Amino acid sequence: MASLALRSIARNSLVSRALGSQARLLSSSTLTKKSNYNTPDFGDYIKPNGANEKSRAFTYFMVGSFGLLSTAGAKSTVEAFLQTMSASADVLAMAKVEVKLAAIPEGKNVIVKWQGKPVFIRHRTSEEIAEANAVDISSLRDPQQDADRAKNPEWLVMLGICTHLGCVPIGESGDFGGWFCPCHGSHYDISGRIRKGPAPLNLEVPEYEFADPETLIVG
Amino acid sequence: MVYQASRIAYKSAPGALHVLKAYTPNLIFFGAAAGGLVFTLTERVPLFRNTFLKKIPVVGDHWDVKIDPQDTYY
Amino acid sequence: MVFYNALRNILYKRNSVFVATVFTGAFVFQASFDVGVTKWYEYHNRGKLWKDIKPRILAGGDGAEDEDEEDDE
Repeated sequence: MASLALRSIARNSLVSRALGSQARLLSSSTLTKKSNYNTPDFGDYIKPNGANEKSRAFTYFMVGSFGLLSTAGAKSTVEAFLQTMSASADVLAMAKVEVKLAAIPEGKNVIVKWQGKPVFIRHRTSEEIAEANAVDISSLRDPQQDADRAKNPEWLVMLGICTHLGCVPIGESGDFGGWFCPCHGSHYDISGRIRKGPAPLNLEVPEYEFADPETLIVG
Repeated sequence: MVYQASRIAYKSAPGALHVLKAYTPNLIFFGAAAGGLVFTLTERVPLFRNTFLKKIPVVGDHWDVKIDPQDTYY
Repeated sequence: MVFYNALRNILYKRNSVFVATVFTGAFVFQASFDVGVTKWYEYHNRGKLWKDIKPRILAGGDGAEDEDEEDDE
């Protein structure tokens, strides 16, 4: 049956080749007319009708599997490179600092070390909060509301690094009752905002949150 | 010499809407393919994990990695 | 033959369907591969993993000895 079909296809292809040469002459297409290319006879290689579906399925299976594996592989490769950029476990372990607030009396400063940097925590009195809020924002070099700097007005948390050249300011000193940088004489007010001296910006406020009313987590 | 089987006939070209209609199934399937690719590539991104992957019924737990708080210190 | 024809009509007659199948297949594959490899790894190292020794270590006693054994390997 198959060989019969094959033979008939082979004969058909012979016929079509014969017709093809005539069709070339009959054709109105100039391209076909100019072509003197003799189509080879593929009759011996053509599979009987329908039998090529199996090999087609195989080809598509191979192409698809290759695409699938390379998609997953490429994604994993990129991911492995990106993973090297993420913080390692020891860095993550040091990334947060927990402070017990109950130990800090009102009107006192505490300096904790966080990621190698000093962090000022001040338990402000109500007068100090009122003083920080009373300042006219428009007169400041780096205008910032006190409410934007302290989530809880009682607790002021900020990085103890002078925004000028990175010295550590001294607490409870300076002309504005806040911090004073001894290196080049920058004065910060009770909200850590720059008021006088060379520093361009207010003392930076790090990420922090109150886990519960008694616990502060910096980082 | 050029022989022509018939006279040249004119017909109006199908509009853009027609073309769009013809391609619609393909566009839908390619959209699904793009969605699948996005899901594949963002499998490890926490945002996508929390937003989509964890919420897949039945198998969603695979992306919901639970570590005992005792075993981690951050 | 019917099977292959059906396969063709469903899966790769449209390239868009074929590509979508490949990508969703990749998504399923990477998850199942992950599960499979993890299963094999945990079976291969059973008894040595943290989740296996954790109850013993937390209970105290012979925990320290076990740790030394782990270090030697």
